[in-house]
Amino acid sequence: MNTIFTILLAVFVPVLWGLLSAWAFDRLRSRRECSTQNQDTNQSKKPG
Amino acid sequence: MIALGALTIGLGVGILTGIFGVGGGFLITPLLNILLGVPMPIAVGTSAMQILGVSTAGLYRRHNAGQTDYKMAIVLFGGNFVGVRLGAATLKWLGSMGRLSFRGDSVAAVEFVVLCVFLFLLAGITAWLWYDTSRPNTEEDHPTRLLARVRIPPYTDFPGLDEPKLSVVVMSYLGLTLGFLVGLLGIGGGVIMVPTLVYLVGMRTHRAAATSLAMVWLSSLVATITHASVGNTNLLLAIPLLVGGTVGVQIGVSLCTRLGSCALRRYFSFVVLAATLIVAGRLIAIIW
Repeated sequence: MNTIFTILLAVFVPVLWGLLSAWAFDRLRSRRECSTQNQDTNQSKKPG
Repeated sequence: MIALGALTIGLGVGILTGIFGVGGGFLITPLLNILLGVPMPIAVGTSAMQILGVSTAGLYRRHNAGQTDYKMAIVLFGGNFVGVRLGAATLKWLGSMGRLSFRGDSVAAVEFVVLCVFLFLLAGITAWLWYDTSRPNTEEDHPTRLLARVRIPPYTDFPGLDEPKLSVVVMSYLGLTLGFLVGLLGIGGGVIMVPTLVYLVGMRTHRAAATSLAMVWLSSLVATITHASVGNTNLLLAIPLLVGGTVGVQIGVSLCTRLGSCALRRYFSFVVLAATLIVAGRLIAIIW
């Protein structure tokens, strides 16, 4: 039982961390890109 | 203190991965053993866990790119599965061999043998990187396709290749060899698999990288399960490695973008050379 728990922990911790970190960094990157695009749009709308 | 060291190693290897695009699994095991004094079997098992996490993140980012040759990955995985189990069994057998004596000092046989294999592997990778970066042009248009020329039945077709008919036996033994290294050393194997698929099989680089990533994920999963079942993993060591590795990859990618070019592979050969010298230094210290 203890061995099964160790195996499950050894597999799920890296897999979940990998998925979570990739998702979080993707979200962060897309938010950064959105804010850059918004800044560009605002600058192009300014008169003159 | 060991956790802080693991975080630093994870961060450093992650930065290298982000800059050079090569997984640094082959650096983690020797660094854990030599710099932190982690017993070799634990270093191998924990390194497999770290590679599982990093390759999961890589697969998540590539899941809709559609470059992976799943048929190739499945054919390779047949031999790979056996190879990983064989490598882990060899590590266990080496662990039961006790200690070797050199001039009065003794060292665990498993540590000595695994470091010797690492020395050859790292020296080979350094030589390959040196050769690869010193050529004027890439050989991708003229790969040798050595494995495609070996005719041992049965064969199967891989539609994405220029020479689509490949021997199942040859591909299975390729998978077995790489799997053995994964099981024995706790490396991902991508640094060997990508050039093998490009130059010896004739696969395009992007396709080879994606297929290799799928293979690295599968073999690190088998390696993690195998090593965890015999108590060769350490979660408290794996977590800082995973955290450092993930953050390091992001720093490395941003550094790479800021530097303007990723044509820094030659510098990577210096990094691998440094790791080779560390392993060689440790072996010399053991023998003398």
